[in-house]
Amino acid sequence: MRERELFQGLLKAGGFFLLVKGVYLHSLWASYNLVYQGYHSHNWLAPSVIMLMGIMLWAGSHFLTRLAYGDYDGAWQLSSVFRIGIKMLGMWLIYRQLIMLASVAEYRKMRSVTDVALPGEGTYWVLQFAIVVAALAVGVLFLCIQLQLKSNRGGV
Amino acid sequence: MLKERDVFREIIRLMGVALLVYGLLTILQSGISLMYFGSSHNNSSIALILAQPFIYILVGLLFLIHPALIAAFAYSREQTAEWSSGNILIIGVKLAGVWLILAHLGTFLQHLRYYLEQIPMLGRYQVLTNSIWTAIAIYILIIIVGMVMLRYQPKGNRE
Repeated sequence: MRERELFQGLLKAGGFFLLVKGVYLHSLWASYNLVYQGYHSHNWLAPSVIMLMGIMLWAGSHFLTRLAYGDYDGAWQLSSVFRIGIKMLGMWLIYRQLIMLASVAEYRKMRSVTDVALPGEGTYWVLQFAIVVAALAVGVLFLCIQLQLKSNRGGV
Repeated sequence: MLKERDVFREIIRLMGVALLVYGLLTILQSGISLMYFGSSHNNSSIALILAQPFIYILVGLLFLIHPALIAAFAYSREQTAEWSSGNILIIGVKLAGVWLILAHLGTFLQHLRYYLEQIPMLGRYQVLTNSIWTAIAIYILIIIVGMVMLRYQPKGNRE
């Protein structure tokens, strides 16, 4: 088996999982709305981001694999565990930061309705946003990095 | 010859990177939150909030730099058999043990913080107990179960 084939399969599986999770969360919020008759506002942004991420991973697995591996087409070996893991860690970082951005957007929308700002809140959100952007950049770096590892590595 | 222990060691090394990244990200976010809105917490609560990501960073560094130590602890008996798909279940049991230990260390710190700040929600085992000592006993018991799972090595796995 080629390492990139395994990575592509993992992306597809992860995409399907996220798609199911997004649909599930939307259904949950919809049923809350039905039961409480609009008392709870529908938190649609975060589940939609999860669904979109799922569709992107599922449909774009070929493109993402090409982005992650370039021309590398080696066979699966022990060092592939670490290499694939770093790329999956990058995908997880990107996913977490997109969810974080969606949550921040939901929060800002809610605060714009109540219109009460705490002192120093503006710079706080700027710093949080900077962390999210930096973490997104690290995620993309982890996804695209081409680690050169020995096929059978030592213990330490 | 590829052995189960080698695969486990690589996964532990990878978990080290993941824990390190997660710990750094969390400590950065918690640090900024405390900087702006930390006045409502006392010193011991602040220490406990920062302790959780700090522990993740330390464990991540340990896993990343010395995965062979963890593998030696997990595989007390020597292995001669080659890696096969049948070993996935055993590795899964060991990783579930690592997860139990790490998750309960984190939840214990959170539980302790709620207790010190006298927040009525006492943590994951509040349905079983309102006493912090009973909760500590539950956490220790689950961490021991995690250790046993980490060292799980069925007899047939030796050869």
